[in-house]
Amino acid sequence: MKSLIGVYDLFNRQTNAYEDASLFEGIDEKNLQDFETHWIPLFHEAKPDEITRETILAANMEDAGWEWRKVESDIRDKKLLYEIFALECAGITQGLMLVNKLYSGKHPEHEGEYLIYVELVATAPWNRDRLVPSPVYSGVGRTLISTAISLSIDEEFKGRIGLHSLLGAETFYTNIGMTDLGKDEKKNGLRYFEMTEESATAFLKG
Amino acid sequence: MNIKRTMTLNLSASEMEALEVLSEHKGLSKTALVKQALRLFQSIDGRIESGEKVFFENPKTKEKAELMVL
Repeated sequence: MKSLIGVYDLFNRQTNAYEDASLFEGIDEKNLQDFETHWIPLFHEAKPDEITRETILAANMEDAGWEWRKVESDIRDKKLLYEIFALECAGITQGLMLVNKLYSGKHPEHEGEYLIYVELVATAPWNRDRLVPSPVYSGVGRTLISTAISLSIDEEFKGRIGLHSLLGAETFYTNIGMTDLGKDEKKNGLRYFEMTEESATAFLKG
Repeated sequence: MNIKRTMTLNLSASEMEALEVLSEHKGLSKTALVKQALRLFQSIDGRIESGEKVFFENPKTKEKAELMVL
């Protein structure tokens, strides 16, 4: 079931104005349709002629192969374990996030303690530098990460979150105060990041 | 973030003690601990129901023990 949990500001870089964005817990057919009819065509348009890890990274579309309809279907009967969020603005899905609520931390400050693990997080392709010449909204990733931290607090995990970062997002996660715990060969060599309670508090204070 | 519902739980003294010890150990309230336990149980039960097996492995001897869930 999809329910509205808050309204946040997104900055429109084309109009230089803030706009209201609605954050939903749960996604519905509209979000999946937005992904399939608006996101995927842009990914196809931006697809490099030669597909390599480097060209995909340069085009800022490392997540283009994620199948959100399959994701939603896979977790439908596992609502205790997973939560999925959608951020909508201007009547269209601007971001999606899947989190896992049964995950233990590896950071020395909170090793073995529960955290919210961000399985997938993505902003719409038209909001991305390098993928489009003039990106629209900024703040989608930040809003979704704030949501993961808020959920962590709600679940008594004190704001702790963790995630494996795509190569192009590593700087973002470092800049928001997450700790780089190194490459994880079990996850295709992606680097694993965690946010401590202290970093989460600092992040939310902005 | 969801609407919460309240229930009364009847536990024996030893069950309550185990809940308190685990809550303290995990740094969670009893409610949060029960929620995590439910997630864990659902996760394991779901895998076993779908035909998978769940094992514990001794990191030194590599000996495996299958987890049985009734």
